[in-house]
Amino acid sequence: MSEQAGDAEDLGGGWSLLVSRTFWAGYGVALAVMGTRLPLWSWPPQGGQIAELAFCAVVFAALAQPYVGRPVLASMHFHDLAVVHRNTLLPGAFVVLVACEKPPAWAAGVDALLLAGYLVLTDALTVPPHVRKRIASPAFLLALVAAVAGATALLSLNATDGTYRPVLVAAAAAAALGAALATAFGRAEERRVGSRGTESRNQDRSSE
Amino acid sequence: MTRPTPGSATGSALTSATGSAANPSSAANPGSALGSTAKPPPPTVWRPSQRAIRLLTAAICALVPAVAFGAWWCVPLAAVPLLMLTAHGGAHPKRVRAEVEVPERRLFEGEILTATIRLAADGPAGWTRQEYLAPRTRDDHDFGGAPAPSGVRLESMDLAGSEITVKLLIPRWGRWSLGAVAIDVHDTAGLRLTSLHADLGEVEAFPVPAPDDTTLVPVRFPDRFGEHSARTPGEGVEFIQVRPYVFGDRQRRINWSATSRRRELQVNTFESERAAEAVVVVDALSDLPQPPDPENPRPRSTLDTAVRGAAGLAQAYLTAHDRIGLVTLSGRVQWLTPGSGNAHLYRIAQTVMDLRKDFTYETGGLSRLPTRVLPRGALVYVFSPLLDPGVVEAISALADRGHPLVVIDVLGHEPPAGSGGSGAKPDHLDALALRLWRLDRQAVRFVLGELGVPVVSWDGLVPLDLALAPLRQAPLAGRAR
Repeated sequence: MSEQAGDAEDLGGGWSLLVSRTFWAGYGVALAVMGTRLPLWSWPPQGGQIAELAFCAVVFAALAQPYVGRPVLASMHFHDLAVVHRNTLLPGAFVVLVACEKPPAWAAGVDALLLAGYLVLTDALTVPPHVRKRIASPAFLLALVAAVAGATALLSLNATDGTYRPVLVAAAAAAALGAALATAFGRAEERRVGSRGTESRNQDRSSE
Repeated sequence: MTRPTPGSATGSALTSATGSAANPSSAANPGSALGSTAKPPPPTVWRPSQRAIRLLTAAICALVPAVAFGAWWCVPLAAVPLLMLTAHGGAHPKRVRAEVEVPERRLFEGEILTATIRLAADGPAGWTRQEYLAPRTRDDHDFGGAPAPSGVRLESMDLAGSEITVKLLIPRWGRWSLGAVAIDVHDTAGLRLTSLHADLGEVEAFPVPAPDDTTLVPVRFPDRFGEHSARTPGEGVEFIQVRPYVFGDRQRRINWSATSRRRELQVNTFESERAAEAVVVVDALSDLPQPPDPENPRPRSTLDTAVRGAAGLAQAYLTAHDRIGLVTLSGRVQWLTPGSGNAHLYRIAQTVMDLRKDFTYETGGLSRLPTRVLPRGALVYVFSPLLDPGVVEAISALADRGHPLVVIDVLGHEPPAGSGGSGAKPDHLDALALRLWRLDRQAVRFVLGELGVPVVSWDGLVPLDLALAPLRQAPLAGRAR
């Protein structure tokens, strides 16, 4: 309770927005609108497009609600999994939806900004204030926008001038590999602590 | 949800462990848990947090189409989570330990227990998120799907610094598990977390004795000095009569008025003062929930009423310096030989603790009780809802042993007339069932009346004195053997 009060004080009027279910549902609908490329539709739309939009809007509105509890699974049923990991499912589903068809450069930029906004806002609700100030500082948010803008600018280059694409892919792949190794699995040295083989080895080293 | 930092800013060097809470003995000397001990605790296992999984999922979902299918427009999407993942390197301690401290594991029902969990880490950590895990529920349809018979309820859980203070209300007597607290400790970037499980252990909640000052007395007392006036001549203060002096009588007992009237020496005769012995029999063969007391939020069942009444009687007898024992009829017959003193009240309370944990069924054990448990002439109180036929047999066996008996019927309410309590209007079959139930109860009381056993009703809402008041007119006599 005291932390929630701290959050509310820290975020001011934004806190009431973050705890509003309507806001998150609206954000999910916005993701669905951009994911199904509503602004790019040729009018009148086809029935399949409308059905896709309606389905995505409903599902995304439900998945967008932030999950602030401990990640504990009551069972391995799909429903329970979806409830606990809904904030993971939504970005994944949105990205997959966007990846299905090539959008214009401006739409790709808007998609990236929407995704960034969702990830940052979810962190704002699930991370305590003192950590949030560090991982979502104004400088970092500026860098995030700059990265999105830079990547979008690269996309808007002439398609015939495709020499930058291998560089882009190599940089993205290296960043992904580094991120995976650095965050999800930790340093290899730390992981080995406690394993039987390395324990005896470490003891031998310390005795030396 | 609370998210403070367990010693994050200081990063002080502390001992560490993982997996579960350290036991209370090691909590007294935290420095000894690591370092010089022969077997160090296992290292803490850190795993990706939900935030890390969320960012990684988004990054992979964007990168795979970009790399595999040439979907270049996904690169801006991948840039966002990748930047968030790599911009802040999270630090975390190698070992984290939770120490549980419960200063008092014995209390009375209705009191609040405070447990403290101290988190100790050997490095900076981000924040914690804790959740109270209630004891496992009991699958008992008689309790209507209630969460747990103990009803242990979380009052508050606060985290200040590296200490989690848990306050639990223990509403019901018994030996209960307190549950546990699951603690997630995150690193400083929120990308990794480790989980601790702090088991809070057990608690003994003593029943609150029902208010009672009445101590019935039997006709025959054991040969123990006490505060009750027996009907035999002795050294007490209650005057009986005067009689002629015989050689050996004490001179101070001479009644000079009677001596002058009768012109021969007369002495006063007094009653002896003896201690009463009583044995309380608690019937735990059946336990039915009872309507709640509007003035008291404690859970109520027939067993609750019986145990609280037994505790009240024990307290009344022990206050009068009498001796009281206990026999519990449940899956197995347990007993406590009569004793005196305040400590005996706690022995009685501890004896009834396991009544709810013993779900086996066995009757007929009273015939095998040794004499020291049921001393000859001891007054026997039987607290029972009189629902199990085995209890009537046990009461009959007690009457055959010549004990003065009092049966206290603790079933204060009739079953609801509706079908299964569903709120449906009772039909003629429900009315017939209720009538049969009443006839069955009357038959049981008739049998007990034929045995010469008085039966009083007491539902636990009024003082026990009122229920026992009609029996105070004369000492209770047992059946001749």
